[in-house]
Amino acid sequence: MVMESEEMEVYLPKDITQEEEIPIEEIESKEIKVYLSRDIIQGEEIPFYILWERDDIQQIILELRGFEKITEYHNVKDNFPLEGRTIEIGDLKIPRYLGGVLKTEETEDPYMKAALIVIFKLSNGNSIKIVKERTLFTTHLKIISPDYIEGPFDKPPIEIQLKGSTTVFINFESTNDSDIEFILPDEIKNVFERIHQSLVEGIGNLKNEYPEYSSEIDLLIRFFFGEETDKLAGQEYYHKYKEIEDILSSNRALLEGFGIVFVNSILSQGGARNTFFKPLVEYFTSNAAKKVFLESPFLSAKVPKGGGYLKAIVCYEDILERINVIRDLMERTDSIKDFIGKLQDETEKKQLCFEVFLKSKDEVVIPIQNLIKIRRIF
Amino acid sequence: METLGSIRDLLEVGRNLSSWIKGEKFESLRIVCKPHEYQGIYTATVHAGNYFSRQYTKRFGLVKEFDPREVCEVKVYGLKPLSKRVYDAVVYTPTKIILNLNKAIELNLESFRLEVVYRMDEVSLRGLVRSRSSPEPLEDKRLYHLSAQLKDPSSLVAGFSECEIEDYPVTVDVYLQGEINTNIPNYIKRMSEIEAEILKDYDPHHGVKIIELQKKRAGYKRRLGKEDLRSKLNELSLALRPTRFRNNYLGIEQKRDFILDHCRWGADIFRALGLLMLPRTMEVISKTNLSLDKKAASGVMVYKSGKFSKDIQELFS
Repeated sequence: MVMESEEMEVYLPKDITQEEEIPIEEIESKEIKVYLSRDIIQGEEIPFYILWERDDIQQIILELRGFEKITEYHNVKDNFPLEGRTIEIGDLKIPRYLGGVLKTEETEDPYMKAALIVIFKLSNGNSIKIVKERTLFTTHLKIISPDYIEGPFDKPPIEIQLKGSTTVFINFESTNDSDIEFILPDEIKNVFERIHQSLVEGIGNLKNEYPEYSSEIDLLIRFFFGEETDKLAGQEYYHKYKEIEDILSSNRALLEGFGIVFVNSILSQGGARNTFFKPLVEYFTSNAAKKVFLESPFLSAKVPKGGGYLKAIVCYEDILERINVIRDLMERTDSIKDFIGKLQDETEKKQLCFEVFLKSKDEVVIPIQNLIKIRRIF
Repeated sequence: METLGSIRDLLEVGRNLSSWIKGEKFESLRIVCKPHEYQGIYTATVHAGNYFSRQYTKRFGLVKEFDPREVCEVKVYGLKPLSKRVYDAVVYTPTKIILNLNKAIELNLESFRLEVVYRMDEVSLRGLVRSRSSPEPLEDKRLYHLSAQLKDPSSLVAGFSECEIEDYPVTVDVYLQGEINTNIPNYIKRMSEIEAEILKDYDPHHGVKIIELQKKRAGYKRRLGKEDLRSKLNELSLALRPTRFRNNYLGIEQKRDFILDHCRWGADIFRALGLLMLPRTMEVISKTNLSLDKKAASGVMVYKSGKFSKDIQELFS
């Protein structure tokens, strides 16, 4: 339990506070409350506020340690400068409240210490000092890769080290001039294609049963026929499906009809178990346990006969970027399709590159988890 | 649809209404955050008790028209001597909403309450409040910190007895995939892998290998017991139903300013192969009220990750 009284308060250096004999808890709970949230991620803008019930406070001085700057003040007069750190009581619009936003920087230290120090100057010349110490978290990625590897290997020869505690989202891409490509293996593509085909047939039949919705059904069919299937990743497939769901959800009869088609078409393919267990494995292998989310856990490296150079980019983003982009997109986009498309494009992912020569006698497809190991160092 | 662009607009319409209604009154302005709509509500509790004010209103009449694009609802309630809603006092037509307070006077009401609900622009509200929730728990894996504070409380000072923002939502994205992945036992993961492997192998010459795999699979299957893995996963997705999840695994630490409202599956859902949908995140919405008396609010949302982990383990044990 993190209660206010447990927080790190440094109460009054001797020289300025000897006459003030109020215990810290009392000051915090009844007379002065300084709030600065915990669990801050580097790069985040973090609001703070100060509320007080005392009439003898004349001036508030803010000192920043480790925080970059103040980007907003709340409840100060309009012309008050953002660089100003000394706030006179007269600078406030309404009494007994001061708020603001602190900007944090991204640093090399995954556990950077920072503090907001608030000094209240009292009318009798004394001061009260409250210090809020915080850790600013981040995660740094490091790729440890040999220049040359020869298959087959027992354990993954390449390692991605994550230093820090924050969650990261990782995706892998091979560059255009790489001999070895990252691909989705055929059997995964087969699963997509089978479901795809059976759905197209099923939906076509639906048109006979529900002629009154033929225009809606045509729209659904266009989705299935309109796009090339070989580039489908899990999410892309889903966004198609989701859009159809949106059309269906506005009509119950059609929805039920579609539901039957969906179930039947999968079952009639005889691949029902395949379509069930594969996704489960994908879910399990996504690495979430280490606070790492692999965007495409089934990605595999296609190595040509004799081997070749793998030139790859590791794209990653932290949870802060992820949340911000998702919230922003949810407001701006109208459809799931739009949403997922933009989620891929708009995130400014950080990138790391590596290059390795992978020797192999025959042409092989190596799943990414056999090639790259992810290790977290706290 | 027309919305009030800012708190100033709301104060303006509030003031207009206030000067229109004569007599002794208690007025409040509230901004209420509903899930899909923000409303600015002007409320006046009017004491029309004395003879003179009743005569006054009778003489001048109290009829006012509102634009239904701007106002979503007008309500009049009798308070004394009889307390009930006075439906006759408000007439809705496609182009206007007509409020006739004479109806309230005719009922000889000593006091009544008038409520006018305006549509508010969402952006205007965000200009008023700065809020934050922890992106993820880092110091204690169960706790998410929430806060909301007024950017310019002086804009709420307007001579109204009360002026407040109600149910301001602060959203937390709780990442669950880690707990689900770590607490589903390894033999189940292994079993799914074997199943997938068996299914991928179409080569008729691999009969021996398939038999080997089947044998292994049978071993794991015994551990799972009579039940089907699929039914276990169904149970898991039941546990992840928003209401159930909220009641079982979420809470708000005592004595703080927030209340837990509801939760729903977040946009960041893991759609394995587009088929099996298990959530990466649960979006949890907590609410708080802000006013001149309460300029800032802070709280801690507790996610009982231990209990959730334990329940998953028990489900598969």
